[in-house]
Amino acid sequence: MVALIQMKSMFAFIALSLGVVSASVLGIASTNGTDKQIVGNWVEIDWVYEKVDAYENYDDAEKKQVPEFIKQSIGEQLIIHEAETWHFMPDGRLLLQKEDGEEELQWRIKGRGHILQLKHDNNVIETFEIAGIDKENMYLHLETEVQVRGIAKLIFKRI
Amino acid sequence: MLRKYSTSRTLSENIRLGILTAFSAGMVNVAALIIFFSFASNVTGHYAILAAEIAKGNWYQALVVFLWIFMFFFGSFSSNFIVINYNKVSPYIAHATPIVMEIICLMAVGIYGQFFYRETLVETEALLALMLFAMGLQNGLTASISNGAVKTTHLTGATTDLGILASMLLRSEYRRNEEMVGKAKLISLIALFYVAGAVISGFVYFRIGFQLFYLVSAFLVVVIFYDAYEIRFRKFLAHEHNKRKRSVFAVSAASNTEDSES
Repeated sequence: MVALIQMKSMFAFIALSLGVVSASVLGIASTNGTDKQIVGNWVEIDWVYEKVDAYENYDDAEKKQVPEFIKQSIGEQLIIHEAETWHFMPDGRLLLQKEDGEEELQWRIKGRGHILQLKHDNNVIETFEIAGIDKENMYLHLETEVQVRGIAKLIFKRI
Repeated sequence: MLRKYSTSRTLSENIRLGILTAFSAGMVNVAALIIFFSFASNVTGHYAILAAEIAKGNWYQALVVFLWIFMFFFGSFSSNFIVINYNKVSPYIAHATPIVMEIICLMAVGIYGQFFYRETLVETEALLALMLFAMGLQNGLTASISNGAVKTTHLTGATTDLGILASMLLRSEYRRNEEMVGKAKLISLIALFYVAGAVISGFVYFRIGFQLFYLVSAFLVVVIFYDAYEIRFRKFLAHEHNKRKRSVFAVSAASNTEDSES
């Protein structure tokens, strides 16, 4: 009798667990992940430097520039994008439209959908944290070393 | 390492189990962080992220993180379920089964990553779920068979215990307490090997990529076969001992017969 009750509770628990997993998977499948939301055309509208208040000697114009020593700590591989239009294609290609031409990259979403990786042809990889994304706007943070994280915030508008 | 259960385990058995599994967990966690940008062996951070994503209304990400936490929980549940239900049949098989399941999960991650991974978000989420399940299996097993003494996939509790123990060991009466000193030794070694595994994983991943998971699996195979080897070795020793005893007995019996005949 006791064994039967134990078996019943075991099956009930396993059924419940499968139910939880199935419900979560269905919920995930029916919600648009970042990899779906990001597809489309975006234009960079602003750069904000969150930690520049630590450098009070800089005037406003200088605050728009990443100080050289921080660039060095971020690494030489960092490619600064400015005033570009980003076309995220569903097949993982990204077309960057610059004033001086066009560049094709590969984009990937990692983590729980909070990391954007951009791969250039010369194997340079840029990593951004997707701080927020909706139908209108996207906010990217430069994801580099922990001590300099959040210094640069890129703001995009969907076009 | 795996045969004994709960309080019948010695400190050295717990240390052997602790260092090997902590080393593997450290490797898996750093590999997950480098490849997938998320932790695979500690869930405290995931709980915080879950709360943050719910607060921000990011339901997709909240569900993903909830699923990861659930997979870790389910891994731990499965381990203990196997241990408590099959311990009477064969403690060794009951304790080795979760490790075998963990090896299967990690090998699956390695093989998929090496041959099929296209870096899509769904793949990343699924592989992380599998890794969290594997880590849940490992932590559930080590905690279950060591009566909570060995937990190797995260170091929050271990660091807390180590801090408490360090403060107690400043007093000479506690330094004479062998159990307390042993516990401090066990936790320190677990932390050390976890970090060592993590550092080595960081270096090795950039050379061999997803094949790193085969290396982690190899460490876990050592955990399984150490006991199997020891069991066979002990059986062999016992057999040899009995054989020697029987031959000594036969010689002495023969000489006794000769003595009585003469």
